[in-house]
Amino acid sequence: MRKGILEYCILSILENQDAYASDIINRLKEAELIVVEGTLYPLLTRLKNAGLLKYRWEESTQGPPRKYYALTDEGASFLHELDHSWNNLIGAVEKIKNPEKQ
Amino acid sequence: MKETTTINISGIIFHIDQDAFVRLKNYFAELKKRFGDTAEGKEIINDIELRIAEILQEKITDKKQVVNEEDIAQIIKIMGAPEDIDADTEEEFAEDPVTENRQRRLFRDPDNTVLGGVCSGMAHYFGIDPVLMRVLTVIVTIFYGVGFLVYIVLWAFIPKAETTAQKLEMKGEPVTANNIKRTIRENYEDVKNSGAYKKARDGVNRGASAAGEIVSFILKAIVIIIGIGMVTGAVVSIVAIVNLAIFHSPTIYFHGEVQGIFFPVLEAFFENELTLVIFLLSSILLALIPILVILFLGVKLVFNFKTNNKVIGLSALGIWLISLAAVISIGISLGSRYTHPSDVEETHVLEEINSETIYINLNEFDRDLQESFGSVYISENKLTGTSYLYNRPDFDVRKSRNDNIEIEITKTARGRSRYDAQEVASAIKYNYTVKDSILYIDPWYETELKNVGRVDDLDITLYLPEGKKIYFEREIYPVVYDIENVKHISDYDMMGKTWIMQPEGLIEYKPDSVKR
Repeated sequence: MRKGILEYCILSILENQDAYASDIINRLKEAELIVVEGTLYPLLTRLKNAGLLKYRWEESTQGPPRKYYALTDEGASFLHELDHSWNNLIGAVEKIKNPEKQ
Repeated sequence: MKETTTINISGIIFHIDQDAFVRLKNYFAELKKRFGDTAEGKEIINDIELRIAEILQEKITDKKQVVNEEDIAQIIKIMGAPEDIDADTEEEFAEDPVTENRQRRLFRDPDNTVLGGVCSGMAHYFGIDPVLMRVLTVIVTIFYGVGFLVYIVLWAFIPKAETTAQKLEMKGEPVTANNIKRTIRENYEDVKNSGAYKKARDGVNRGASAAGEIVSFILKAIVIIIGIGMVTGAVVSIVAIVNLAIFHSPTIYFHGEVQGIFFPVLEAFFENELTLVIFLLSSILLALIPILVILFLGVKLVFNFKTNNKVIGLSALGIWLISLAAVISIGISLGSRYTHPSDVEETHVLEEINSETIYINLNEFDRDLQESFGSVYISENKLTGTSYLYNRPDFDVRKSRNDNIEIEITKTARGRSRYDAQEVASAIKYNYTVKDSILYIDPWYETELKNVGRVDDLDITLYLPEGKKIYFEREIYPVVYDIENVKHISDYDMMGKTWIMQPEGLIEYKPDSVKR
């Protein structure tokens, strides 16, 4: 069931503002979507390789330079399509669960 | 007291004790094993390294300067064991073409269709306007309908972009010089990072890899050229077949002939129209399906698309096999009509002729003949609507074994059996008439159309007793077949002259030779 959900969440986090990997991790952890941090890195790399994400290096005052992720145009349009499918899915599930409301 | 080492994680120096070092080293070794040696795997591991450096930095204070095993254990807990990291992501991504392949693929576009979305899909692939693609297709359709045919084939072959991922791939990055460069560089890096390359580099030289790149590029180019060749060849063949099938059919039906062979003759040859139609259709499919397969393979070589249509492939194979069976069985069935040759022979004594000289001439013939094929002519009886075939008989003269003038007519035909052959032979119509001392023979023998190809021959032999004379009218030359004579004079030179049967054979009769 979680297939694709994490990717969708990552793209959604990046929709309004660019973020460091650690920011994304914190958001996902808050939402209890991931348990271990390592999970995120393969996802980020593959989304980047798929052309949906891009990143730039930012120097950090305390530590090593950090990757600052952002959506590409393609990523934004992909996210748009995902939003659409997501809403359809929600609607469909709602219909199934509460048939009397319709 | 514990021994410490200095390590460098993402450019940051850490002091680490021996136990912690071993554990961290093992952790990275496991990660490496998981994510492999690819550029992507390396990038993931680098990112994890960065994060670990970050976390470690937070743990280091002035009071605690050395990384210990406890810290590493915490880090592994935060980051997750390699199998935990993997379990969530690897399988999902392996199946997802978006991330697997960023190159553009050929799909049909279901959101922008006139017929099947082939044109818009192609337009996405080439990065042009769908309208332009459609106009091109219509233009190509004007030439023998090629465009339409290719369209139908592509419609069947090219998969529809159904998932969002496929739609993205359809509109994916165009194939540009930059893309190709990047792909080659990535491939090159993969090769460079692999163990085999390292060995090669240590062992021999770097030229080998460059040569390998060139060879692979040339191979790709050759594959594309072969693909284009296959597509071109297939399209030309299809045009030829379509041209024959569609544009010549009206000729066959309205003018009744194709390449000099009349349709009724063709029909009769196949016994009935249904067999003919099945045979023609099967033959066309038999030729067309392999051509379509070649077209498909060619398109697949040139373009980059996946096929998911087993049904079409299997039904094509099925149709092809059925066509093959139909052609073979019709062929055997038709062929068996010609297996048994036989003949019918009739001999008559021409008692009516009492004169010393017999004159040979042709019966009048009032049918309107049209050339059909080879030496066979066709004519339709306007009253009954049936057609007949006409062929030339072979007329010969030999010495009689008795004192009678005899005429022998031998009809040779083929059939499924000896009996069948004799029936066909008996059905041949051929007549002669005798008037005074003149023998009139039919210039043609007549066969029913349904027996086309089954009638071999009709021989008329006149047996002339010794001492009798014979005069050949010039008109009979077309039916004369190699009349033997003592001086081996040709048929043509025998016409218009009187000949006499002598013990040794025919010789030209001259009045002075009688006196001798």
